[in-house]
Amino acid sequence: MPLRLYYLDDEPDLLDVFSEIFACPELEIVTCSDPVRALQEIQANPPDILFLDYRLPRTTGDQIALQVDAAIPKALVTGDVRVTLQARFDAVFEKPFPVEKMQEFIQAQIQRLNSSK
Amino acid sequence: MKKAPVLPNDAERVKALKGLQILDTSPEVSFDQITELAASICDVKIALVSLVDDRRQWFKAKYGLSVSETPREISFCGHAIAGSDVFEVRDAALHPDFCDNPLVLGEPKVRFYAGAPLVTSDGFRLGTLCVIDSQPSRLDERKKRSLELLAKQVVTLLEARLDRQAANSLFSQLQEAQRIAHVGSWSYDLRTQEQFWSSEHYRIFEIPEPQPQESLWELYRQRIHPEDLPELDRLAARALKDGEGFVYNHRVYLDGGARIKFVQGIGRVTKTSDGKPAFISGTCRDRTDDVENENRYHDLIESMSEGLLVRNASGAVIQVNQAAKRILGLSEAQICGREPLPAGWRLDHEDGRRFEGWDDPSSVKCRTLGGEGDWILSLKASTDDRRWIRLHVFCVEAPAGKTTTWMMSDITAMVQAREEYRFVLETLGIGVWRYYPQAKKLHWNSTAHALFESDPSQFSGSVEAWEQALAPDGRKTAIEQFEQALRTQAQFFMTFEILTPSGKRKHLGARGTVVRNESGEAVLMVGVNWDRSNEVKMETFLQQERQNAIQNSKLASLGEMAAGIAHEINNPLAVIQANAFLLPRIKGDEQKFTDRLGAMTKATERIAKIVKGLRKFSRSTEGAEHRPERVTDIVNECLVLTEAKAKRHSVTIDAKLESQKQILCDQVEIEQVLVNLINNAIDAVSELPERWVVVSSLDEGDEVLIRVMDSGKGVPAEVEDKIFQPFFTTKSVGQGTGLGLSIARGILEQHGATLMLNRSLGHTCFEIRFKKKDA
Repeated sequence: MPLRLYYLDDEPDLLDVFSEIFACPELEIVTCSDPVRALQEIQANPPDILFLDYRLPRTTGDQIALQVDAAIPKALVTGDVRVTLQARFDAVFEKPFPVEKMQEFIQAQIQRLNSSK
Repeated sequence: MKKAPVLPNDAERVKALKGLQILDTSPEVSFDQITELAASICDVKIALVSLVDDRRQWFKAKYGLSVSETPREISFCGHAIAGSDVFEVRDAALHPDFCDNPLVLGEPKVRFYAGAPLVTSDGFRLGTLCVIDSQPSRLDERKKRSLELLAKQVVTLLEARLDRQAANSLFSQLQEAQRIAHVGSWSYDLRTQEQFWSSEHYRIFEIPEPQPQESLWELYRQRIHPEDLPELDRLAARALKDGEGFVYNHRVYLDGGARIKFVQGIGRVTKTSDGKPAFISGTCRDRTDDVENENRYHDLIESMSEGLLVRNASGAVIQVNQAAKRILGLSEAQICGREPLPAGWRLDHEDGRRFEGWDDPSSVKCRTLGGEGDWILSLKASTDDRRWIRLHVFCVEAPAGKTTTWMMSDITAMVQAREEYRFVLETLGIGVWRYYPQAKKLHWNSTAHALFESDPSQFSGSVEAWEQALAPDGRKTAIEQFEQALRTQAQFFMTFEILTPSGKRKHLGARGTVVRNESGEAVLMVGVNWDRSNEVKMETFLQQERQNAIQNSKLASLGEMAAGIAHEINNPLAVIQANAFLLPRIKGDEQKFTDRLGAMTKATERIAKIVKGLRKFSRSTEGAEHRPERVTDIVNECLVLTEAKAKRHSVTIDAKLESQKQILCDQVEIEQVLVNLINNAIDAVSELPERWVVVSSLDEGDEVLIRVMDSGKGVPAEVEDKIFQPFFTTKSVGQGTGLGLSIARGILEQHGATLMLNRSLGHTCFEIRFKKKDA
């Protein structure tokens, strides 16, 4: 069974390119642009890897991260110049995407998660 | 008939007769008694005192006859006075001179006549004492002699009568004089106890005249003021015992003390040859009026605010009033005497020179009669107390010698006020001027001269002095403005620039009042000048500061937006980059390739739009020209810049743009204001359940309104007053600079526009009102 990666970003144009760039057999990529719906889905069905955009309508990726299982590996994606965080993130990536670094992070997580199974 | 002769000295004789003032007077007992006696002695029916006037004989006394006069021509007496002896006609019927006389032929049918002339001490024969009968008769020597003696008695009576009349007239004149002078007289004969008061004496003491002699003393004593009685008794006792005269000043006690008179009694004692008092006489004078005048004079002197001090020829102070004591701060004892100023006191002239006049009155030029002098002096006591007095000295030649009168006023307050006034003017650098337009005369005070750097001694006093001082570039305008004020204004304010002799350029302010006559012509202008160069410098500085503040706030809001803007740019950038990353993978799939390129173009356009909006912020505000801009364009630009923020906060932004008008403005600045207002509105509603912002524009009269209304319920009253103040913010620290609204208002004021809170719409609504460009 592939691992689930959940990506929340209010920029819909980014969601499908994200899925396409990071598509691989070990991974099922789920995306969402609405923070309220995303939080419900994440809590109901926790993903294996979580990517969160920082600036979201009426909330931030940081706020979402505080409300989900701390054990889930999390990466913050942000277009902002500077952010202050309360939640613990395993990686922070600034837009535009540093594709290689993100690939490395995803692969590292896949290996870690698969080996621990 | 032989007529009665006219005597050689008849004119003088008649004059002497008239001088006796006897003719045509009433009968008097003493004369009547003499005629009765004469008739009885001579044993006749008629006896007369007949006075021979110019044309008639008139009878002062008549016994046995009723007529009072007959013509002189037919008179017997007219004949009788021609000689000095008794004239006798023994039987008139037989006498050739008288037989046909009407008095013989008719009543009283004279047959016998004998008349003794009335000879005055001066030798005039005035008439006769005559006896008459209707029977012939004769007088023997004894009867003749009796008749002569009685005639002498008549003359004595006539002359004494005149003396008595003179005495009476003298007495009444004396009474009248006493009444006028308010002086009464009295006498007391110690030997006979006889007392006399003149009418005026009665009047002064208000005692009805006359009174029995024995009660006069007691009545007098009752009228004396009780407090003055012991003195009276003392003086009276001394006069009676030692024969000493006295002067007794006392009060008369009237109406039980309700009324007072001031009276002076003077007494003199006449002594007998053996030195004993025999007779006391004297006067009493009512001096109430004098005392009242003296009191009035005294009250006046004491109550006046000027100090008065009188010094005699040797410099000694002989009179000083209350005010003088107060002004000098000295007691009467300290002032009166030869050297009135205590040690340590000084009187100085204004320039600090010592005033010599006090200690050496001869240095005050008015030692010579008629001299006068005025001085302003400072009076310095040994303490630090310093007073200013104005001194006026004049001379009077009095019976007791020359006196100098020193009048002084305390002008300390005035001098101090003048010093304070000068100090204030000098400290504040305020010049005072007066201009008399009709004479074109200009006066400057010392501070005005200082402002204009003009030398008072070289000052022409002409309005040209001011005109020449004006800086050439503004001279014409300033003169016109001044003349305009002179023609039309009551109060005026103007500013102008001058170029001083030392080459300084000064901005001066002028404020003044124009005084006009009944026909409206300006007769006087009074006003002040002050240097407002610093004020102008400050205004320029403030203007610059405001520009800086606007620029800074622009940077601040730019900074505020930067983070958001970075996000807004980074997102489409991420879209472009991610799509570009995928392009090599989908080379063969034309459809996918086109889709990706399309997404990239769309993202690029998004970035371009944002950058275009930002570019305007790089322009400096300074010198930016106001250009006509469409309200709709401005609002749309602002919506682009705030769209992203609204979206992030899930705030709906709507625009209702009705106005198609243009306004004259600096577009960047107005956008800055609007973005600020819209951002505020977004922040304000972001936590509310209902979240919307409406930006609207509409025309109202010659104004264009732009409203930024949000779903909030208005601004709390306690905040409302403050929101336009700089650095006021309700946002949490780090979220806002607090400069927004005050700067917004400042910017709008520069555009002649206003920013207000409209409370009538039920929601928070800021309203900007512009003048239409074409209005």
